[in-house]
Amino acid sequence: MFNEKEVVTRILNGDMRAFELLVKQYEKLVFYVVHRLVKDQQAAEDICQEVFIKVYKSLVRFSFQSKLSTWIARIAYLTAINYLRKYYREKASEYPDDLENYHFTTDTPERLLTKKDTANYVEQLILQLPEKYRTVLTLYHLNEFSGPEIEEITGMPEGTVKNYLFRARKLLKEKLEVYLKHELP
Amino acid sequence: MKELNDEELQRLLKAGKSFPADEPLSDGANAYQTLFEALKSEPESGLPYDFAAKVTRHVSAEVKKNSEVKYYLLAAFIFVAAIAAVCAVLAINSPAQEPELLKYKWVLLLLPLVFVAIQYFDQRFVKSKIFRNPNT
Repeated sequence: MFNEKEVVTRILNGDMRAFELLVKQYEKLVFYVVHRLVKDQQAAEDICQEVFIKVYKSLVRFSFQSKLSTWIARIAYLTAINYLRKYYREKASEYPDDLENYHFTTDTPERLLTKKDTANYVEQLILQLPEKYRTVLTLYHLNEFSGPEIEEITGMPEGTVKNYLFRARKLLKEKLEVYLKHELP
Repeated sequence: MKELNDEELQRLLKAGKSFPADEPLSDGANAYQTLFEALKSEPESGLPYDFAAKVTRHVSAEVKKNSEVKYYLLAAFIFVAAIAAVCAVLAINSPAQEPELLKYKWVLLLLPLVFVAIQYFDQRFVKSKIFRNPNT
């Protein structure tokens, strides 16, 4: 079983095998967060590497006030957001405040029927959502973080997190309802 | 069964409860159930299988580089300090005439600087390229 206190102590004593163990433990978590924000696979890989280098350098300051996974997820989130700001200048203000009026570019389900399965279709829809909605959906459903943990990672108030989750799910459900009607005979 | 609204459907699925099997699902409930399952599915793409090893190698190389730089700077400092001490001893012993060693003081001071510079450029341009090349 992964004992985070023991692993952190070993890393701080210069044990690189323990660091490799930590990377293996959290690489999926970091990749999920980064992948949903940065669509380019190569860039996502580079960012994941940068995240773990930052983790290594900052580990001496980690005081176990929070879970190690939450702390690493925050580093991943902030690194990915910085990357977006630097290279894409993607701003929240570019998106409408009312998500209900949000328009997906692939509006016709027929076009996406070629995408074989529903999970793929949902993934395509998520990738078109504003970054904050993508982040909360990923952290909640894929990484299984709780509301307060997502607040700690993203800095958004818990109420906002819940609101984003509800609105994103509702919008995706509406799209999926249409998709399922067309897909099923 | 009473038709549930979005909030109720989401709350039910969030709590991990399933809809009654004996009653047909409404379109909304069916879509939500499918959505919650899809949201849990992992993305098709992922990190390479040797990602952890690659990151560890990278960090190890960086740690090694930093400790080597510290070692070289310390060696250069000790060398300069030793030369300065020798010069000081010679100057105290024969203050009237300039010791032979002092004539070469700039050469002696330059030596550790050249040594540190060579090590720096070696780290910066040669070893970093070796690390980047996956075949080496």
